[in-house]
Formats: sequence, structure tokens, C-alpha cells
Amino acid sequence: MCNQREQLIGYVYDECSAAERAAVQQHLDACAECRTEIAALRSVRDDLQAWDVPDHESVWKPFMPAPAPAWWQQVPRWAMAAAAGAVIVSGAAGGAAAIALMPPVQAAPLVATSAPAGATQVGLTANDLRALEQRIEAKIQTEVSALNGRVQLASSRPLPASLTAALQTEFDRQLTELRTMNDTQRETINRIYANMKSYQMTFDTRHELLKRSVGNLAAAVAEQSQGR
Amino acid sequence: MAPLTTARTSQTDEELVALATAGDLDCFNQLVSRWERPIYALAYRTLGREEDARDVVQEAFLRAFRGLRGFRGQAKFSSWLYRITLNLCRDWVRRERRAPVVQLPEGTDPIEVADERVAPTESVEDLVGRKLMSAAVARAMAELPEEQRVAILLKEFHGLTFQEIADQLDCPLSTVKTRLYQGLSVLRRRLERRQAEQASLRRAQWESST
Repeated sequence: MCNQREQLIGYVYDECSAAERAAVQQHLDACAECRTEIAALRSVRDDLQAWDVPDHESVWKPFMPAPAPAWWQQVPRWAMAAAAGAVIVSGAAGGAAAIALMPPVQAAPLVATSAPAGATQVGLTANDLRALEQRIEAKIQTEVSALNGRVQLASSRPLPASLTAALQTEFDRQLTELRTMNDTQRETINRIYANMKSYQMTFDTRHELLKRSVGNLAAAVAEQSQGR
Repeated sequence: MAPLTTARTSQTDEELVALATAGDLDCFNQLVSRWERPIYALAYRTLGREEDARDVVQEAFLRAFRGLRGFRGQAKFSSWLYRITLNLCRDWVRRERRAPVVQLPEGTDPIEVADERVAPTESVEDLVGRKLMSAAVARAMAELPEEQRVAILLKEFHGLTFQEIADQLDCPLSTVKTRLYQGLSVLRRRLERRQAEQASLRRAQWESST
């Protein structure tokens, strides 16, 4: 036992089985040398507890919500809604009866909150757009907050040159990464814009046609009532 | 304005990790506030300088944040964090090409020390004694080989089990126990020698003053 350090250490830290513990205990009763050894280990453990860590302020600047909406967050919601609105009109345009019932000046509502079943033929609903928008927003916000956190930390106080260089490299790498990612996202958003533009054009055309039809109808009705 | 960080005491580290990975940044703030103290203590006791410890703590949490997605919960979050910190400390020491530094307690001036006394029952002598002891322990620890020092740090100040230390250091369980035993034995000898030196110094001072 006198040469079995592992057992003694397990005993001192009380990380041993009951059987091991009993065995060490039994040995200690008989061996003065090991009793001294155990006492010395315990006393050095006590001494270690004197080792203080100085008080310190937190070094972490908490991640904050993004301060101001960035360009990608300013994709106008009306544009999204208008895209959906165009879908509604194209779905409903077939019904001439509906046109007849519409007051001449009041066209289809510009903002639609939900797309009817007829819209599924186009494959993109207002909800789809909103979900996509939210996904993109969330992703960008996460990345930007992380980057902001980094920038804040990096600039909070002067760092040793060796660390600054390492930080700079890492920072550049992250920035490139973020830019690449933004490019991809910008492409996606541009595609959405292009789609919305074409929806808007369709919407405008149809709106114009509707107005004319309604005007014609109104004229016809007026003619008829005059003729009567 | 609502507080930026709301305490989420009911959630485990692993739950907070999952939420943070899903984009809830405040959950990461929460993890930091939970673990900053022990991580700082580990870095400080390993590097010996407050400034270095602060830098390592910042970097450790940034690395953890960046690696969150890669952390699949194969270990406890704290173990993972300890590992990152220890790696950073190792790199730090290597890069600076020096052994851990021991900051000598400049505050051993009894008058100055008396001002920062916390417990009213502790005498100035005790406090000075404790400061000296703290410095003596720091110095003795700094002289230990790294693997013994880290094992002792993780055991004494962070309460890791033998097995957890073995996982951190990638070594067998028996090696951990041997390192602890050797480290503590060397420390004991050094501390005893230092105490003997101080005692003889005090005796010499007393004799020369009389």
C-alpha cells in the first residue's frame, strides 16, 4: 500500500469505492508513514485554497438586438403584399360578374393579407414571402450581431500586438464570409424584387383593364337607362 | 426598456446552447454570465496575469459562440468551455514563449491591505498572511510542470472528477491520479521550504532589531 499513490489520492479526494476506502482506512490504522502522507496532502490542499483570484469586471459585452433596420429589413411590406395582391386579381379576373358588381372607382384592394386558394397556381403566397423574409432577416441579424459583438470587443481597449494581429486576421476572414453570404442573400432578394416587379406590372395592367371594363359597363348601363 | 439579459435559472446549459444556436443571442449572454467567473479563474491561475486572463476569456467565449453549431452536446457545455480555455492558455504561453507569470502582491502594504478587508473578524496580520500565502501558492504552482498544474487546478478549483480531468487532458485515469499526487507532493515541499525561509527571515529581523 505504501507505494500505491493512486489509492491514497482517491482516498484524499473521496473518489473511491467503499471497498477501496475501507482498505485504505485499514492500512492507515497500521502505517504511520501513510498517515503522515495523507495529513500532508490534506494540508497542502488547504494551503491551495489561499490562492485568490482578483475581483474583475465582466469582459463580455452582451449581444444586443440590432440597433437600426438595415437595407434588407426595409424591403417594403406593401411590395410583398402587392405581389400577393396581383395574385388575387389574376385569380379573380376571370369572373365578369365580379367586375360588374364593383364600384367604378374602387379597384381591387392594394393590400391583401392572405391569398385565396386560387392563388396557388402561381406557387407563391403572401405567407411564403413573409416566411422567407423572416428567415432571411433572422439569419442576417444573427450574423450581424455576432460581428457587432466582435467589433465592440476588438475596439473596447488596446490589445497586445500579437493578439491584435490574430484578431485582425480572424476579423477579416469573418467579414469576407459575411460579405459572401450577403451577396448570396442579395441575389435572392433581387430575384424576389424582380418577381414582385413583374407581379406589380401584371397587377397594374389588369387593374387598368378592369377600370376600362367597369367604365364601359357603367357607360352601357347609363346608355340603357337613358334609352329606356 | 426590458433588461437585456433575463436570468434563466431554470434552463440547463445544454438547453441554452440549443436556444442560442437557434438564434436567441440572449441565451448565449446567459451562458457567459454563468461561466465567466470560473473560466476567468482558470485563465488567471494558469497565466498569472489579469490582463492575459481577460483576453483569453474574451477569446474563449467568442470561440464558443462561433463553434456553437459544431457543439453537438457530446460533452457537457462546461467541459467543452474548459477545453477551449485550456487550449487558448496553452497557445498563449507558447506564443509569448514564457512560463506562467506570478504577479507579486504589490498590495502587501498592511495599511493598504487593511482597507480592502472584507470580514471584520479577520485581522490585518491574517489578511497579510493570506496574501503572502496566496502569492506563495501561485509561485509554487507556476513552477510545476503544466500537466500537473492543470490537473490540480481542475480538481481543486473546478471540482472536476478524475474521469473528467482525464477527458480534458486526453490521458488515462491513473495518469491523472499520479499527476495529482506528484503535483501535491512537490507543492508541499516547496511551500514548507518557503515557510521555513520566511520564519528564519523573521527571526533574523527580530534578532537584528534587538
